[in-house]
Amino acid sequence: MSSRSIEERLQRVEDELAIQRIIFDYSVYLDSRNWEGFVSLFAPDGVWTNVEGTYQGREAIMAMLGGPNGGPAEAPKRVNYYHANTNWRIELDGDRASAVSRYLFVLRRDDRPTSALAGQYTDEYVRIDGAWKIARREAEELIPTHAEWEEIFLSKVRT
Amino acid sequence: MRRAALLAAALAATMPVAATAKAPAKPTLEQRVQRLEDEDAIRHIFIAYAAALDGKNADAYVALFAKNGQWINGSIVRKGPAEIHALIDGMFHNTPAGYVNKDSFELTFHPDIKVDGDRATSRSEHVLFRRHMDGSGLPQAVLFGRYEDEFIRENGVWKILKRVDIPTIPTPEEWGRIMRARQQQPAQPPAGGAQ
Repeated sequence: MSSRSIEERLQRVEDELAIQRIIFDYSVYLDSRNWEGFVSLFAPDGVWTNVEGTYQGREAIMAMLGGPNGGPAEAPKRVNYYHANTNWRIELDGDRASAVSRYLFVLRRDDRPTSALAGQYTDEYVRIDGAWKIARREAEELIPTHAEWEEIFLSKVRT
Repeated sequence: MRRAALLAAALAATMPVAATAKAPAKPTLEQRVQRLEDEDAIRHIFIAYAAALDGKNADAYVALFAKNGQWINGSIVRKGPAEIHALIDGMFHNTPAGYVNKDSFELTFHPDIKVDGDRATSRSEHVLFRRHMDGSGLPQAVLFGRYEDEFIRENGVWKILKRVDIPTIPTPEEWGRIMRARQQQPAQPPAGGAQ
C-alpha cells in the first residue's frame, strides 16, 4: 500500500491528466489556428524552440506564428490537416514536470489523408497559480527530418 | 383515490424485499484512487513498451515483463526475461546512448484495461510507422496489430505477465514476406513552421 496520503495520490493523477490535456490542446489549437489559445498554454516566459529558432515569451511565440491573425484562415472543422499525439511520458516533480511525446502530422493530399511528418516534443512544465503551463517545448521533426521536410516543401514550390 | 391507495399498498409490500436485496458496495475513496493509479500505471507500460521499441532499448523492454512474463506472436513463444532479452537483443544490439529513432515509431491506442486486484487484462491496438520505402522520407503506416495482455503486480509494480502480439494488417505471413524483402535491401542511414 502506498505511503502517500490519498490527497497526494489524487493530486498526482490530476497533475498528469492536466498535462495530458495541454499536450492535446496544443494540437487542437495549432490545427484550428487558435493562436490565442495556443500561446495561453505557455508560461509568460515560456519557450518554444526547434532547429530553426527559439522564441521566449507569449508575445514572441505569437509573433513567430504570424500574430493573432497570422497565416491563412483555417476552417474550424480542421479539414486540411491534424496532429495526433501519442506515447506521452510525463514525469512529475512537485510544481515542475517534464514530458516526452510523439506526434503524427496528417495532411490532406488529393483528398486523402497522408501521413506527412512524425516527430517528438520534449517539454518542461511549471505550475503557476495552480495551473500547469509549458515552460519549454522543443519540437523535433524525425520522419522526415527537418532538412528533408524543407526539401519536400521546396520541391513542391519549384513544381 | 382508491387506486392510489392500492398502488401505495402494493409498493409497500415490495419494499422489504427491495431493502433486503444486496446492493453493490460503493467503493471507498482509497479504492477509487487505487483504481485510477493502477490503470495509469498500466497505460504507462504501453507507452514505455513503445518507447523501448522506438529507442531500441533491450534492457528497458525486458524490464517491463514479470519474472515469468511471456511474449507470444503466433507460434513464437518466449518465456522469462532471459528468453525475451535474447529475442530482442538480436535486433537492438549496439544501440548508442541517447539514440533517437528517426526511421520508425510505434503508436499505441485504444487501451481497454480491466483491473482485478493484483491482476489485470487489456486489449489495445498499435500501428508501426516507418520511413516510406519510396525514398520520400515521409512516414508510412506499415503494420497494424493488436495486443492482448495480462498484467501482474509484482512487489507493488505492474509488469507484463503475458503479451500476445497479433499482427492484423498485414497478416503475420504477409509481414514476414515484407520483412524478408526489406532485409535484402541496403540499409538506409538514420537521418538526422511550428509542429
